[in-house]
Amino acid sequence: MFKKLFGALTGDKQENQNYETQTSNDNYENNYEDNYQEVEYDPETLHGTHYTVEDFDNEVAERAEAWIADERASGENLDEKDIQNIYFNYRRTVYTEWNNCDSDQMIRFEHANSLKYTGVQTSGFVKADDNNPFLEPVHGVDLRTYTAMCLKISAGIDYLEVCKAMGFEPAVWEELNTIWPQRMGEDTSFTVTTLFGQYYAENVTVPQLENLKAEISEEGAANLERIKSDRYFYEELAGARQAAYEYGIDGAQWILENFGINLADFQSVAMQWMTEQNQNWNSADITEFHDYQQQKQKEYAAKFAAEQGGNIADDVNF
Amino acid sequence: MFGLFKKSKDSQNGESTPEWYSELQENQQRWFAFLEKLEAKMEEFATAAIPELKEIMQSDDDIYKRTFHRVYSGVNGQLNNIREKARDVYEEKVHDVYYNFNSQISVLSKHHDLLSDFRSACSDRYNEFENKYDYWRKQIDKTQERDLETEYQKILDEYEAIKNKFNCTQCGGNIVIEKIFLIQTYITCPYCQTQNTFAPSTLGRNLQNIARNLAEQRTAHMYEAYEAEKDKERDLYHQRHELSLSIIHEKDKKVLHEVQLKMDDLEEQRQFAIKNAPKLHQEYLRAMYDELNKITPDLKEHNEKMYQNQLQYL
Amino acid sequence: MEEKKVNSFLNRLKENAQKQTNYGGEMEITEAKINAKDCPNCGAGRAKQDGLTHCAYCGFEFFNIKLTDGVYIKKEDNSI
Repeated sequence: MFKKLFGALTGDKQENQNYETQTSNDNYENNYEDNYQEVEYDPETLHGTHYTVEDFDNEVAERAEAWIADERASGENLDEKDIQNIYFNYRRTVYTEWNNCDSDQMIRFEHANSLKYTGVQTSGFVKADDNNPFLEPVHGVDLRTYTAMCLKISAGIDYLEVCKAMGFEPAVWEELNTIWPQRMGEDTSFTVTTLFGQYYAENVTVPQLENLKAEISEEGAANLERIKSDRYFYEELAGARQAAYEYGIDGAQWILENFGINLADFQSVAMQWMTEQNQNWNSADITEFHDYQQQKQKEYAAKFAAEQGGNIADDVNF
Repeated sequence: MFGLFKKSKDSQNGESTPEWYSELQENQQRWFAFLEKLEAKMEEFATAAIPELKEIMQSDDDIYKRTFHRVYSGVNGQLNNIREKARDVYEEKVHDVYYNFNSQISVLSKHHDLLSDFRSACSDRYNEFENKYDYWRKQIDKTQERDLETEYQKILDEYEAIKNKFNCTQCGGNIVIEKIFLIQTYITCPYCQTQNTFAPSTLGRNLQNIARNLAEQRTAHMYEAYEAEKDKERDLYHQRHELSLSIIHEKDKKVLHEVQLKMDDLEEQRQFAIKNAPKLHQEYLRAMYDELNKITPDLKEHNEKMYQNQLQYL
Repeated sequence: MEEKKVNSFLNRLKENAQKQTNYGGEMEITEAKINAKDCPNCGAGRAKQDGLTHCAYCGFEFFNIKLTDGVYIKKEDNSI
């Protein structure tokens, strides 16, 4: 269940990231001079403060509409998607021009405004809005509390214990655990899913659940601290986990047995790094961490292969 | 004209071939042999693994089939390993070698063809390998298919068997389970009004997990019809394009006219397919969600919201 | 000889997969069952007329949340 949710969550983002890394790499060579004019950015919208958002939107619309009119005049048949793409591209152009910025700053800007411009949320930028019907509490339990319960359960605490601490019967939990995932599916802006992920990354808790602690060994606690602070160590374990699956080993269980970190904590840290990455977009770092994870995955794969008597095609050589 | 022909013939005889050509030939030969061995390995492994996987799928009584998924993931891991092996060797022995020579040999050189032929022969062979990989990958994917009709029938049978067998914990009066409950629920005793908690069995709870796949399986023929209609567009476009190429040098007006008629007909069919595909898609979705509502009527409200969302993306 | 490598690999893979512990432990296979909660305060059975959240007899609070319209539990199930 949680794995599935996270699959959708991180899977989606992964695709997004690849796309964005690629596009930002295109511009990579044309690195801007370090001494470019310092621009002050609005902390919320990441727009430069030397113009208004309205001016920006107007400029984009003007250029986009001119292009669309041109295309139509030459007989092109534009559908909704084409038009969205045209706007998307002009937004990038105008933003880069007006702020004289590099592609990483532009992507950070896109993340901060993804709901406004594309209708889809980006992790690290969602705020709970009381008027959103998708966020209305279910049986008095809001998304934050639901996430806190999920965290305890995937950390290995019996759901009956969690219900008891919350003061309600399992029947209520089963309703929550049906309806919140349903809402995640229904909400096409992904606000519910993304906010769930953000809470997960924050490892949220509520007063009722504070006394419920999953068992963690001393070594596990130390490893957990380390994957939180040392991105390379996190990438190593993420690579190892992936390699484990490729050799028929349940990666979540393997991490628990060998490093003492449970699935909830591991996923939470994964979300933390992802959110951090979205907020401080830097394509050079992303490539670096990605390559490092690949390299570690290979090393662990070799180890798992050796334990299973080698890969079946080891004797086939060029 | 004749001179050119003679030279290329010479080069094939090996008389005037440059010395690097032997390296290319050797690499090509080895590359072909290497892939052949990998393909044999892949086939041998997959044919041994598929019946095993099917058997584990049957015997794994875990509701999530976790043992099956571990083995399945390990089998795919080996297939991936073989594929990566091919990719690494391709990079080193074909791609890099090609670019290395390409930077030294002018495109205008009479021997440049040897180099491009080397690359296209090797990459064609590589595609062939990739196709085989895809084929085995699909065969292995198929072992994931579960007999959902049988699983569904078991749930229905269990419901029939238990629906009248419960009594109120307070007064002992008979409590009828009126439908398949997906999760825990409160049922009021009709005699003493006590709230009893009913918890469905593991089997019954699984209905929620299999419902969507079952509905999709039952309407798969409609999905295929939609996919086929969607593919028609490209297909008809290419047919028309071929025809248009065939008359580039045609002078006979009668022939031109006939071909033009055929082309118009193809275009008409194509336009129809473009309009018809989304219709078929919607018909499929409606049928699939109807089926889903039949399987899990209690989730109808949610199912319909999902349907409305999907309509937006047609 | 070749045949052997593939088979021994598969056997090892199968063996390892079977002996691994599932994350979160084994799923307990349970039958459908029914039970009822007596009020821990007055000992009465939980009765319908006054909803799910409080005891119909002594008013003891079974759970302290406000029920909304869910899958099976509805707003009306709040005790008045």
